[in-house]
Amino acid sequence: MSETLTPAAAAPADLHLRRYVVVSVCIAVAALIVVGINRLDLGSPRLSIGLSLAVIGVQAALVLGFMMHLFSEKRLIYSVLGFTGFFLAFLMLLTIWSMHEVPEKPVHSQPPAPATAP
Amino acid sequence: MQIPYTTEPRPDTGLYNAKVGLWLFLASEVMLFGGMFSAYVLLRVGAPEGLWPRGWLSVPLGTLNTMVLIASSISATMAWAALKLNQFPRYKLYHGITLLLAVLFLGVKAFEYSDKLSHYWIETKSGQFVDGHLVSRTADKVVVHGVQTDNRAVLFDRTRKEYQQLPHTEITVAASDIQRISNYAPKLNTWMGLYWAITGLHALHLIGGILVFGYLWGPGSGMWKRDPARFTNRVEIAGLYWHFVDLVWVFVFPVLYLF
Repeated sequence: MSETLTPAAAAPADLHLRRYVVVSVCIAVAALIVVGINRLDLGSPRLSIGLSLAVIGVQAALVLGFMMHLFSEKRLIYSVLGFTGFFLAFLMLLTIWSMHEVPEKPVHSQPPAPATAP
Repeated sequence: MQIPYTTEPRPDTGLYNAKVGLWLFLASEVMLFGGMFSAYVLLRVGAPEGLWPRGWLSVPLGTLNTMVLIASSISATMAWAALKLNQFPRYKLYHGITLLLAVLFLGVKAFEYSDKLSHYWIETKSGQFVDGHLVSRTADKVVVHGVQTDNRAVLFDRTRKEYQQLPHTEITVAASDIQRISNYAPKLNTWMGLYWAITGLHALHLIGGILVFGYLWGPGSGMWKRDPARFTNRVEIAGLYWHFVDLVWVFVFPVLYLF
């Protein structure tokens, strides 16, 4: 929110406000689209989740870019978020790598070990 | 001592200090919620086939809360813009609306939580699975209004016809026949644990936001007369935080309510 709105610039301010309203409506519509995608039977859960994630990505970009003014921020903020994005991606990659470590039979469903004689 | 760079930008960063501090805080928050989501993904892929809950939450309620949060986000932005335009009464109006919407969100969430706490899952010694809302509970028996099946998997995916075709009736289970009984608290299963942890953490952030907005709307608004530029920056920072809370919900809602 580094933009400057002053009374002298009332017309641009009105334009800014209108933009926020339009962006908010877009975010709300995107949420409804995600609900719709998951309510419809697209035949494949992967397709539903993939499409939903694409729409959620657009929603997140709208919130970050317009509502949080990230599209017009200073370089320091981009640096901070760049580091954060790197560590978040690494965290998620760790999760993906560890998926190969998941046992074929979940631990919970394995039968209890037989009791041994003392 | 005067606190530096509360309104004017610091030469080396080009930003006033509170904004830098808030973004650093939000960066740590990204990692906090990122850890939660990575835990969700790991547990989801490690779950046995067909035994990961789906359709356990009310989509209309979740959608309503999404709309409430988006509306609160726009009113928070309008409140900041009103201050930039020197329209203090309008600021009070918009921030008041934000507060009300935030409380409404928590109210809907509280309703959902209370519904979960009165919802019971019962496994009987005879191999039956009973699921429904508690009607009564004594030392001898438990009465719930819900469904009964011998196929546990049917109860996990409630978007399927097999579940929706189960008759909803009042079911009495003798206490002596109960092998396991639990309400929909975190102890029920991994999914409920994640649900309570993620939504609870998000709700705590909302409560924090309400406290800050309440202060800025009430006693803290006196700063507008003394130092309007600084007060406007405070409102801007609170708004940034609120948008982040909104952003987190953008991910929480589909992950828990839809997928």
